[in-house]
Amino acid sequence: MNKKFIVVSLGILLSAFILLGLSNLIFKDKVIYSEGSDSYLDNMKVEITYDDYKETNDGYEIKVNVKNNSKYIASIRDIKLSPQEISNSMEFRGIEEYVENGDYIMGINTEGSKGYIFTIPKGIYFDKNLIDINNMRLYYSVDFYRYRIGENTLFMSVGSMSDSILLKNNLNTEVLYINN
Amino acid sequence: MINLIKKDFITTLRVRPSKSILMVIAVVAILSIFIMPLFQYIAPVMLPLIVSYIVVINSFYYDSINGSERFILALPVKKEDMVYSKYLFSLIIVFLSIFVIYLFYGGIIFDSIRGLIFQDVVYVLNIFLISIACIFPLNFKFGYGKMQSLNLIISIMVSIPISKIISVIALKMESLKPTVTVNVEGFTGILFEIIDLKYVNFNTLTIVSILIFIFSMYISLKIYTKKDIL
Repeated sequence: MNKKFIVVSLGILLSAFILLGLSNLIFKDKVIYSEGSDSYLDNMKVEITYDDYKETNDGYEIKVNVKNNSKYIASIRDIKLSPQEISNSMEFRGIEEYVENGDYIMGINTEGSKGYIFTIPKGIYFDKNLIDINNMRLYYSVDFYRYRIGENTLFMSVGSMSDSILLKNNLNTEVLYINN
Repeated sequence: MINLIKKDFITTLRVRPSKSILMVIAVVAILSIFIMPLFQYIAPVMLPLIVSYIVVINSFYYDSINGSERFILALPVKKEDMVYSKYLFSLIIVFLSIFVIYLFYGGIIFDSIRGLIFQDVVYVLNIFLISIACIFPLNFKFGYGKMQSLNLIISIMVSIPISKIISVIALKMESLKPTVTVNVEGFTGILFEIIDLKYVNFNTLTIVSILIFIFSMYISLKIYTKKDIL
């Protein structure tokens, strides 16, 4: 019995070693979950560019364009604009642009884009010496989803990112500045 | 012994019982592709594990309902060959299932969430080997009839700590990447601190499982050769 046991055990060990060796070779750089899919970091990006500004009855509207360059569906969680000097106290929240005759869908599809509008209300003035309206900082955070179910539902989050960019605009700033 | 293994293959894979296996595969495939994309995440582990487990337990089941144990031992077959054949059969089945799942999932297919990774193979091998190592000696000692309901419970109870260890090892490997920070608390945190990747990693864990498997074979041999078959 002992001889047979040793032969069988060695056979089992050998086959296990072969399987392990083969697996290590085949799965050389696909060992853990994060390596099993395409690289996440490169695929979660949105591009935000300044579009335009216009003056309305409510105030001065700055519009930015958010383009989804990733292969997932992007959904902006929040997007805020604020002059750098007072970014801790005051920020303008961005609202999705209302498109006439357009169908509202939640999130931004791959290769799609949406506009977001920040309104600086009339009646607020800034001190020219202390605050620079032309170089404001835009903070945004985005969630990425993999599937879309209908127009209003996104399914299966793959990750989220947040960042801030410097937004140069060409607001007619004389209107917003008040001189001491 | 080779013929005993062949007999196990024939009873479990070629006759009617293969329907249950095809059903499991069909259910998982349908769930993965059509209904729950989330399922794709665990299918490469669940499928080979469940199928191998069903096949191996079925080999015991069909031996018990056919009464083949007494019949075979009346032939000039050594008792230890029964034990060797069952263990080798289960090993061949798990290797085959891993190979088949690699053929299907080897790359990222059908726009699935991920392809097969080494961690899946480690999960399947270790959970299967240690569950088998725990339930086979009991089956040999008490007979399949008495162990029928306990088999699954013991396998599941045994698989929980093993999958925990494997996931902590994977977490430790993730934390080594430059862009990743990992936050662990509680018992997982303690395991996370203890595990040193040089000594405890996927390869050494699999080797330990194989050694436990061989040790369980030794125990089954001792039990079965001394057992009276009535």
